[in-house]
Amino acid sequence: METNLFIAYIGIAIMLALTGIGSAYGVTIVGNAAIGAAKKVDGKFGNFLVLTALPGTQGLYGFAGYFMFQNIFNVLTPEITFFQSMATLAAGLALGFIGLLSAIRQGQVCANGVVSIGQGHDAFGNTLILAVFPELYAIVALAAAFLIGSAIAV
Amino acid sequence: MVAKMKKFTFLAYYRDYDAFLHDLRDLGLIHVAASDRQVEDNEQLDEFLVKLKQLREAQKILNRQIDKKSAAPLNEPDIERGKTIPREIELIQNTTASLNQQLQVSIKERELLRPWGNFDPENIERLRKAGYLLDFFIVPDNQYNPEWETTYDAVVVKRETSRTYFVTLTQNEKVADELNLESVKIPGISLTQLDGLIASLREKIQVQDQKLKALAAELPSLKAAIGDIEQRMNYTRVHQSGTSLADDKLMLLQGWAPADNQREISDYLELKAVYFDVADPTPDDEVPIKFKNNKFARLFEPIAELYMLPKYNEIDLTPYFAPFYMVFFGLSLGDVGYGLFLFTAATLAKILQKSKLSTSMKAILSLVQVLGASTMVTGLLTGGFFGFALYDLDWPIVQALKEKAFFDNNRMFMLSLVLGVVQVLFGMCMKVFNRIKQQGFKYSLSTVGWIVLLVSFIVAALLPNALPMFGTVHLIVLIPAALLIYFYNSPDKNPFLNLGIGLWDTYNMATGLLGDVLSYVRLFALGLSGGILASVFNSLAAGMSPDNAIAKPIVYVLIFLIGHAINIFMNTLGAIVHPVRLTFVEFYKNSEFEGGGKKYSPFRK
Repeated sequence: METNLFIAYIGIAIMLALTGIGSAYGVTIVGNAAIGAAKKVDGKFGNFLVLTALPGTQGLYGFAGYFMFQNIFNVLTPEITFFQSMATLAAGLALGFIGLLSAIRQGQVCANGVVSIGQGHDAFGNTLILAVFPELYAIVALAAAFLIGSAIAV
Repeated sequence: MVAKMKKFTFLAYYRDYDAFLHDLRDLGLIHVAASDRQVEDNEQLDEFLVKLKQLREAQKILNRQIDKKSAAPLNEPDIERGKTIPREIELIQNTTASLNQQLQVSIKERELLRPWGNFDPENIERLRKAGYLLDFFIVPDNQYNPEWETTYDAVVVKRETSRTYFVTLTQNEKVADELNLESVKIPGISLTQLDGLIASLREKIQVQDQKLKALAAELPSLKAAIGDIEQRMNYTRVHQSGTSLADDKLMLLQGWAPADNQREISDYLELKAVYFDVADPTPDDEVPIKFKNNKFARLFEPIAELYMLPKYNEIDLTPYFAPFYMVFFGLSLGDVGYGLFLFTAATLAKILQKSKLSTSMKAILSLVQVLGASTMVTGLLTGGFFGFALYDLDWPIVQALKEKAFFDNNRMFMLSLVLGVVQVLFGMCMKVFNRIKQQGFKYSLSTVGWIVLLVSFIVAALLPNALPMFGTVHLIVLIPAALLIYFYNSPDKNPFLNLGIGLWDTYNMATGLLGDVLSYVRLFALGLSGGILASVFNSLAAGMSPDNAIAKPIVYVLIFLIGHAINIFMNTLGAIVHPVRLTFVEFYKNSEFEGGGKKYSPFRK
């Protein structure tokens, strides 16, 4: 039914949009800090690049989520049932919001690390470790979306 | 394991103090205990710090000069030579700066002179002496008045970018005022000379650059000088750790060394005729920590050091978390192919860079090998190989393996929780041993009660036939456990207080245990999402490559390589960090690990 497919695609849109926006914000927060810090220290651009890239993964998870529903579970077809479409919407909401907020927060952790490196502290490893913690919840959300998807897969 | 330490107390006559310290440094086994009254803001140390900063700065500058392609041979290290380098660099930099300034000025003058062409300023001077003044003017084209050519003998030299450059030849000194223009001040040098000057300046700057480049060959000397300063700072610190006694006639110094080296140290010190005394550490002593582990557990020491070193009387948990960490890493990465990649990369690095690797780097590579191998084994549970499902292969051997090893998502989820329960319970057992070691057997009893209680519930839930839940046998086990928990958790206090503490412990245990065990779900989530992303990249590579015999494989390989490179980096990072967290938060907390020991770092050259 068309309405069902419509609902499912709204879920996909939320999933893609919110995770993408989150990552865009996250990498921008770190990127801004990195430009400021790059003026103070040379030779740390590699570190900054890695830290800037970290909040970029949430957008990737959103895309991976869409891809799963499209290609692995094959639910995005006109034959989709109401139950399947609602499950897709739920997965989209969960992954979308977690991705959005965790990416922004992760960006802040990384940005603080970048500032600290800019002031001459060797904080790269510590920042890397601490920045992976907010990431976990996006990973859990992706795993949850996967489990939701496998439950409704055709 | 924490290595056993001995406390050494030395007494030296103040005149022999320096000689004694040099002997001690040559021995290189004694960790000198810092004295309490050590002043940090010490003049001598400050001086060293300033020098060290200069040398490091110089090192940075010279490192930038090194041309990677044509590496010039480095000179032999010479400390005295190294110390002069910051001054030399400063001189070169000052010269270069002033040369650059001159160059800028000359370039500006040339810009000024260029429209007028090449002439000898001497000729103008000669004209002036003869009473004729040559003035230089620039006006916009539309303001130029051809009448000037008759009134002032104006000659147009050049018309460029709608401006007219002209000179006037008069005997009148007030031409500029009459024309209401400002005459251009011409530098007293010809264009050819100026070009020559600029070229020579550039050459001089080049020479200075070459000098700086040549100085890069002295990097080993610089390094030696830095090492020398660091050593002197170290020496000064140790020197100040001594306490003077008996009207400054005697110096007292305390230090630590591993008990295994006691014999060696005693022999050496007796040879040097030093008065010393050896004692066992008392509980109040701040004993430096040295790990003493077997070959396998030693690999995990860098991970243990990330948190805190154990206190001297505490059990070192490194050998006990090492196997868990290995398995957890494997589960979090969860892909046979990625494991193979890490294992091969570490092995290759070990073989190819054999001579260059430092011992600590070698240990890390060995750790990567172990973790990679563990990933290959645990990866068999889910059967991922660079995102492809290994168990989709129709080979009989693979299918036989699938039968034995394959875990679906539900079982993987359960497995991570079960591992959590096992590690948390194991942590509690470590807590029992830790308390026995530190405080005595009776203080560990309430923890024993908790372990018995928890294990009995688990057994009753899993095997209701063997041990019915709350059956007679179960109650016989439960009641003493409960008594220990509620009335013997702090043996020195009165029973009512014990009951209160017991209830508080129960609350903490109920909320804490649930959170602790659920935290292990991350193992499942990390492994699953890594696998999903890997398979997404594979599908992307297959789906996005165009239908073209040449472009198809190129695009496919590109997407495959980039995708998996990102995925391996992110997942390996996660697989390192999350098991670290499980170790430090869940395991250490349940083991009642306190930590805070200082690392054993002997005084040596």
